[in-house]
Amino acid sequence: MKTFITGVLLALSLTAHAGTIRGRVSHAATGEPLPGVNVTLRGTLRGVVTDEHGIFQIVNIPAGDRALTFSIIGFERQTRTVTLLDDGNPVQLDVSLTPVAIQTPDVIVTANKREQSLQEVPVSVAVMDASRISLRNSVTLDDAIRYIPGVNMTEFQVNIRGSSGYSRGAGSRVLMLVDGIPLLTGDTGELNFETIPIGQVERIEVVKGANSALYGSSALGGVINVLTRPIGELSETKVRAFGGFYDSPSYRQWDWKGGTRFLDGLAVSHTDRFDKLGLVVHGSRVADDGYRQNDFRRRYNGFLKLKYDLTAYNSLTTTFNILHQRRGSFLYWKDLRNALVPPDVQQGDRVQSTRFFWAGQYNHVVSQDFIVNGKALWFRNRWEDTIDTLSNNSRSDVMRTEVQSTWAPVQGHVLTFGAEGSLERVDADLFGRRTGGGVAMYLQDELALHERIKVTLGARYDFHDLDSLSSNSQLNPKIGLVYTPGEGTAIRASFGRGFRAPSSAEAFITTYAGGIEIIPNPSLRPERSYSYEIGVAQTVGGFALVDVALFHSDYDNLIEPLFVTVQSQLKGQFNNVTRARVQGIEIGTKLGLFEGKMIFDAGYTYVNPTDRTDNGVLKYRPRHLLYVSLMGRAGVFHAGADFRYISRIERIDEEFTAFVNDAEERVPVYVTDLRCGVDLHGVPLTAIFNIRNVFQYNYVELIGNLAPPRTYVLTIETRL
Amino acid sequence: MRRLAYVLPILVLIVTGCDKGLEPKQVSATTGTFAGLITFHNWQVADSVYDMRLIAFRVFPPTNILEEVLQGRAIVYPPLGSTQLARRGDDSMVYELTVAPGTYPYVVIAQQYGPNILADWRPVGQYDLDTNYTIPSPVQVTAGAVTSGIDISVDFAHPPPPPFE
Repeated sequence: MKTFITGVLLALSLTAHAGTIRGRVSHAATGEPLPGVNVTLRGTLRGVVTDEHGIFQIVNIPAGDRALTFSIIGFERQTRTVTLLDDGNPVQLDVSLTPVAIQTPDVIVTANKREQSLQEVPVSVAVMDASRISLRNSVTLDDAIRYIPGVNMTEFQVNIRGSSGYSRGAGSRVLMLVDGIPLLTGDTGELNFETIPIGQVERIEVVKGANSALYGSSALGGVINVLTRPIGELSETKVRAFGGFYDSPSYRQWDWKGGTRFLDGLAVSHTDRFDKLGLVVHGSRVADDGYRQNDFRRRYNGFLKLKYDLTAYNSLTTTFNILHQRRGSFLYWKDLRNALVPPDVQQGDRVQSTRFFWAGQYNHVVSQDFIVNGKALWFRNRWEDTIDTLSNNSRSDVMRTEVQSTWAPVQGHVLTFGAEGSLERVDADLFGRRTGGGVAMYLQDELALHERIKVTLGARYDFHDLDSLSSNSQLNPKIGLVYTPGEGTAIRASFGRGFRAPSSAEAFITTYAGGIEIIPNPSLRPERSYSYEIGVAQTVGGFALVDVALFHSDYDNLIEPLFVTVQSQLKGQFNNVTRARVQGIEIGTKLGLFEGKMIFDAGYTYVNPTDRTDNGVLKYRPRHLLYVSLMGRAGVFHAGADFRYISRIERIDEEFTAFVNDAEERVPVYVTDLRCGVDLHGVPLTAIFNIRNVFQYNYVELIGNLAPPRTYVLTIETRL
Repeated sequence: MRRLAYVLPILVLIVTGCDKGLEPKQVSATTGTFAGLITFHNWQVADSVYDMRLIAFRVFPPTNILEEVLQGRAIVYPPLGSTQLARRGDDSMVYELTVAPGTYPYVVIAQQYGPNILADWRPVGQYDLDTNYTIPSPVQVTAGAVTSGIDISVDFAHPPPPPFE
C-alpha cells in the first residue's frame, strides 16, 4: 500500500514537469510511413501504436532522459533515448526502421492482459495482423482465422488444437474477446464472427490452450482476442470495394441453374481528430448470392469508435457496432448428386438477425508503473428464423463490467489483478425467459527470477449462476515459465485450467427438431479442462524462426447432445457425457528470403483426440493440419499463395447418417489460394486480385455442406 | 531450411492439382444397389401416417427400428428429414437404394404412426419370398451390381409381426 501511495504521489508530483514525445516512424529504404509500430517507454508499462501515417505521441512523460523502443515484425528493433526538459515543450522524434528477415521479439501480444513481447509469454500465441487480413480479402473474422496454424473451422465453430468439435451452434470452447472484453451471445453462448467489422480489425491474437485463470468461462481450448484499430492522428477517409464471382461447379450434375453467382462489398470509413476527441466512423455492406441454392446473404454494418483524452492521464474510449443481416438457410445438401441444393423442405428457410454491442473503456495512467482501466460492454443479439413452417425468435442481452490494474511495484514483478461482473438475460421461444450472471476476481504475478527466467503465477475465482441451474464456483490456477538461455532462444512451459459454464441454449432448449423432441436439462454442470504445454522458439541465422510445441489437454464433463429415454420414449437432450484427452505437437517455421522480400510460413499440427468414454476418436477433430503461406514483394507489386491441408475427419455423429443423404461423404481438405496486387502509395491506390480454391477442390468442412468452388475477387482500396 | 521454402510449395501444387476431391457420386467398388417395387394396400386415415421409410437392417432380429438406424446398424431410405417414401393413396412406387455390399436380413417398410419420431414406428411390409411372416427373406447385395426384384407389399390393415427383441 505504501508503494502504491508513493507511486500516486510521484505521478502527481511529476505532472507539472511532464512532457510529450511525438514523431513519425518510417521505412528506412522507401521512406513510407509504418503503421502498427509498437512504441514503448522503457522501464514503464506505457506504450502506443503508430497510426496509419506512422505517427505516434506519448504525453506526460516525466522530464529527464527517456528511452523509447520501436518494434514491429519484419523490421529491426530500435531503441532511442531523448532528453525531456521540464519546460513543457514536446520533443519530436522521427525514426526509420530497417527491414530484416525474421525477428521474434517484435511481435507484441496481450495474452496476459497487457502488451508484451511474444517471447515473454509462456503459452503458444498466433498473431494475424490487418495487412494479412486485407491481402486475403477476408470478409469475416472466421475467413481470416482459417489461415492460423493449429486452428480449423467446422462451419462457424472454431477448433484450436482439437479442443472443439461441432455442437450445432450451442456453446463454445473458445472464448472471443473484442479489445479484451468477452463477446459471446447470451442465448447460445457462441462466437459470432459476423458481428465485428473486419475492416476495423488491427490484429487477431489466438492464445492456444486453457486460459480461464485470466479470462474465465469458455477459455477452455483457447482465446481469440480481436483488437480494433487505434484512432489515427490525421483526418482520413478510406474506401474499400470488392467484387467477384463463384466459378461454375466442377460437375454438370451440381449445376443447379442458378447462373453466375456474385459477391460484392463496399466499406467506407472516416477517421478524424478534434483536439482531444478522436473518432472513427465505418459503414459497410456485403452482398453474397451464395454458390448454393437458398444460401444468399445481405449484411449491413455500422461502427463508431470515439476516444476522448479527458486529461493527460485519463482517456475514455467508446465503441458502438450494429449488424443487420438477412440470409437464406442451407443446413445440408439434398444428396451428393445435388450437393448445391438443399432438401425441398428447406427451400424457403430464412434467418434474420440484428446484433449490436456498445463497449466503453476508461484508462487511467496512475504512474509510469501503475495503470488502471475499467471496461463495460452491452451486447444485444436478436434473431428470428423461419424453418419449414415454424418460426423461432430469440433476444438476449449480455452486460459485462471489469476493472483491471497492472502494477510493477518493484523491479522484477508485474502484477495484473482485477474483478469482473456479468449479467445475461434471454427471452426466446426455444429457451424461455432466463436470467444469469456471475462475478470473478483474478490475480497474476509475472516474476523475473533471473535475467533469463520469468515465472508467471496466477489464479482466478469465478462464481456463476444461470436461472434454475445450480450455481457453481471455480478456482482456476495457472503457472508459466519462460527461459531464454541465449540470444534467439526461448523455452516455455505452462499449465492452465479452463472451464465453461453451460449456455441457456444447452440447459433450457425445448423444441422439436426433425420430429425429435428436444428437452431441457436443468442439471447440466460446467465443462473442465487441464492444459499442459512445453515449447521452444529458436531463430536460425537471422533468416529463420522455428517454433515447436508439445501439448496435452484433459477434458471432463464435455456437454454433448444425445438421445435419452424418458418415460419409455427416446428424446434429445444436452448432457455431460464425454471425457477426452487431446495430445499433440505443433511445428511452425517462418523463413525470410531475398533479404526479407519473400516470406515463407508453414505450420504443422498433429493431434491425437481420444474420447475416453468409449476409447474412440473424438468427433469432428482432424488429426493433421498443415498450413503453408508464401508471399513476396517486388517494388509496388506483391503476390502470395496459401495452402491448407486438413486430414479427413474420422468420426462424425453417427445419427446424422439417418438425416442427411451421403453424410459419410467427406475427404481430406487441400485448398490453395493465390493472389497478386499493386500498392500505388503516391495515388494512393491498392488493388488485390484473389483466386480462392484455385484448383477447384471439392470438400466439406461440415457433413452435407460442400465448400465454395473456385472464387475470383478483385479488391480496390483508396484513401482520401 | 531455405530449400524447404522452394520444395514444399511445389509439392503442394502437385498434390492439390491432381486431386479433385468429392464427385457427384463416387464410383466405388465398395457399394452395391438393390431395387424393386413397393405396392400399398388399405391406406389408413391421414393422421396415423406421420411418416414412412424403407429400412434395411444389417442384423436380425433388431432391437428397435430407429435405434438401429441411429446406431448405424440399419439404413433408412429416404433419410429422415427429407420427403417421405410415398404419399397417402399411392398404389405403388419403384425404388433404388445404394448400400454397402453384404447381407441385409430384414428389409422393411416402416410407418411412423405417432408424433414421437424415435419411438412410434411399426413395420407395415417386409421383403419376404414366402407367406411365412415370422422370418423375412434376406437381401444379398453385391459390390458394383444391381440386385433387382426386391419387391415389397405393404398392407396397413395386415402388417407383419414386429420382430424386435
